[in-house]
Amino acid sequence: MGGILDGIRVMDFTRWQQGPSCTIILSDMGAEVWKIEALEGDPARRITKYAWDDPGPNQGIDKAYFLGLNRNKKSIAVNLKHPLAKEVILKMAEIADVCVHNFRQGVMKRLGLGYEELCQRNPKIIYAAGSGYGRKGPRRSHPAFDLAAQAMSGIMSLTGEKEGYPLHVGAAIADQTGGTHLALGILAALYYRERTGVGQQLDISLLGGQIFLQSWEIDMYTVTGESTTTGGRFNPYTTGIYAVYKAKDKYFVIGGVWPEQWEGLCRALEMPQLADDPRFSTPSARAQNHDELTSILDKIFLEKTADEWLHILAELDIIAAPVYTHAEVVNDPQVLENGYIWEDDHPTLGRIKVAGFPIEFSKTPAKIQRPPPRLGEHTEEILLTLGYSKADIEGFKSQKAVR
Amino acid sequence: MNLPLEGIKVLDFTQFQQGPYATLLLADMGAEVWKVEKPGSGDLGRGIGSTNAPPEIYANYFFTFNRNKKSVVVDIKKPLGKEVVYRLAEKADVCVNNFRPGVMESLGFSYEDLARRNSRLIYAAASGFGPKGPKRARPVTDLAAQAMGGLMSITGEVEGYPLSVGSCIADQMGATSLAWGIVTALFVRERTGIGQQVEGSLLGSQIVLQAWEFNQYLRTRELKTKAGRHHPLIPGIYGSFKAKDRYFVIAGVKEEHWQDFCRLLDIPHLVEDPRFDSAEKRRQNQEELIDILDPIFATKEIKEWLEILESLEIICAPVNTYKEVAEEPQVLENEYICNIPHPELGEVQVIGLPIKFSKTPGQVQGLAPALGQHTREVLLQAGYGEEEITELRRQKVIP
Repeated sequence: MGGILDGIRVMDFTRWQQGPSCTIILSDMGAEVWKIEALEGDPARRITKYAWDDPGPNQGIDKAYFLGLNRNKKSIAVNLKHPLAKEVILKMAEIADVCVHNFRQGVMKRLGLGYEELCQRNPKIIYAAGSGYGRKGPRRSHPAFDLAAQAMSGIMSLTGEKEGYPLHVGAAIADQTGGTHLALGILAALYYRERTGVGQQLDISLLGGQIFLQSWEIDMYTVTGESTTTGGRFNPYTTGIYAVYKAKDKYFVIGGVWPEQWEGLCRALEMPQLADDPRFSTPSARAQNHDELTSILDKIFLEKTADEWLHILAELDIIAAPVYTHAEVVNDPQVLENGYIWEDDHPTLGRIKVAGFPIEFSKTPAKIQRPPPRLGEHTEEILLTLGYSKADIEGFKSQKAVR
Repeated sequence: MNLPLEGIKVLDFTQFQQGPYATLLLADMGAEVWKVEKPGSGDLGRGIGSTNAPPEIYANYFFTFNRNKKSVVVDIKKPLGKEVVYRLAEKADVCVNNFRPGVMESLGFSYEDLARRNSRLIYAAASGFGPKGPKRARPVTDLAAQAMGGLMSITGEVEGYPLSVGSCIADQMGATSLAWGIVTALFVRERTGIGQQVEGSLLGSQIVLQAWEFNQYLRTRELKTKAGRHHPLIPGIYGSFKAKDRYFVIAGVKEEHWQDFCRLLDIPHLVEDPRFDSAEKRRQNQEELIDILDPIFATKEIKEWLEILESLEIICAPVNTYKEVAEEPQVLENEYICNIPHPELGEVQVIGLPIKFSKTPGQVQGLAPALGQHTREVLLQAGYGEEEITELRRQKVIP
């Protein structure tokens, strides 16, 4: 069989990252995604290295930001404010399964494209919205970006050196998590519709997604009332051997040492006397004397390379890993063998590697079917699908309703 | 039917966090989750963290990840225990595990073993580093996945250790990916009748969290490093700042806002300053600019700054602690954190479902089960009679 979502049509009004990171999931799984862009295109087409630039003749399809978020989609460029274009969109709703947007609250309604309007054409449609702060509450119509959601959610209050600024995560995790939740919601709604015939609305936000990422830590606060702060290279919640360490050449982490592994670890570190040292002989003693233990370990770990230590720790079945740079990640056999990085042929860049898909399905794998679209590349094709004639399409173009 | 996954039965072997949170998402969306635990200790997550209340129910690590589930204690090493699992698999729609690769096979619960009993079964496995590759059988925790996935290399002070995120985001994202894979496979099965295997890992999910940053690296081959309070890919006014009373963030000042921004900060001379008069120059001279801004922000309280910045539609937000998050009206009105009744603690706040459905809202309710609380109930559902259950007890297959 083909793609998982073969035959599912998605009207995709999303821009920037949170929304497109949702619809790329749907398109990787085989849905036909109609990326509905304004005549000047998704602003993400303009993001080049650091800057906000003219997208150039390739309209961003060769730039990392747009390329990474828009493969497998079809682009239709329309003037959303033109009455002719509005009719085109409502006609799309008649044969679409899903409509997704990440406009600020009220924008779709003002355009005459709210849930009710689309439902009139297609009551089974699934109408999904991604926002910054959620559908309700005092900040519901504030503008938001990844960083703002990381700050509001508390995740920055746990990240950073003990003395110093709270730090955000270096990657746009709020956008990516929000996009994933939006896709998960759409899939659950599709499944429900398949069983009952009922469509519905759903919404998610960057803020809600970030809070979800911290379920345990936030429950820990709400249940105990104890607030936690940044732990620097240590985890704010554990006083075990669960931290970043520095080897002779580079950094690595140890993700916990079980009580039964302690003696073996001491032997492997050539410090057998530590095993019976009353300061460290039990987990609670090690927690109490955490600073002392850390300074001993720090000194020892400097004596060998990270690879040597990782080999030693693996022999003991102790959880440990290198702190990889992005260059190391994309060349790591573990990453490549599992298909987390994909290779593809791109029309202007040739053979390229891109961040892939995290789920492996045994019978219906996700895959790349086409490169990211140029602006309006599929306008004509989609209008023909909707039943418009070539002459109609020329008329729309001359009236600047579509591009 | 009022819930997206109503009627779906999940045979759940997962422990700790990545697996249990995946099945919790399914439970919140209406699935019936049969949590199969070993006699004695049960899920090892039951021992982590604790409050003043009895650990077997209230250890809050377990409490967080296991609401809405049913606990079934079975000794799966005994032949009769294996038979129980096969019979549960016949009635189940989904089977989930996060054992290391090979463990389910050695127990006699491989995909083939269970699919023989139920060809429509969806068989989901969560792993640390993925089902293939040289490290597939290594033990993994959240921290190891954050390190291997590259996220730590871009997080932390410029000079200093690479830092992990203070919360278990690899586990949570791994859980989300697995739940998404399972729901997708259910949808496929509804349309085609086909069951299949689904695999998700911590490492793969970490890479997806950084899709943009990875693609940036893959296009340019330029390695970014830690940027401290700033962003490794977005120099300029994008990061954390300190007001008189506490920290806040500004997520960029657009070109068209620069003039007003300078006016409101009472630094109108900077508008024309050749070091800062274009976005490009503000990026190039970021350090100088931040040195000017820091003392200004230290003069007023956060409330005032947010009002000023919001009047310009500049994206900004407070850096909340958990106490502030748990009191934040924005969070509460959207029920990202909600209250559930607790028999001894009264009302407790818990994390809600991040997805809001208009017709089939989730069910954030129920406590984590006591070990083995639903053994008999679930066995009856799987078709066991009272006599058989008594016999299983006598043979110590179930408690």
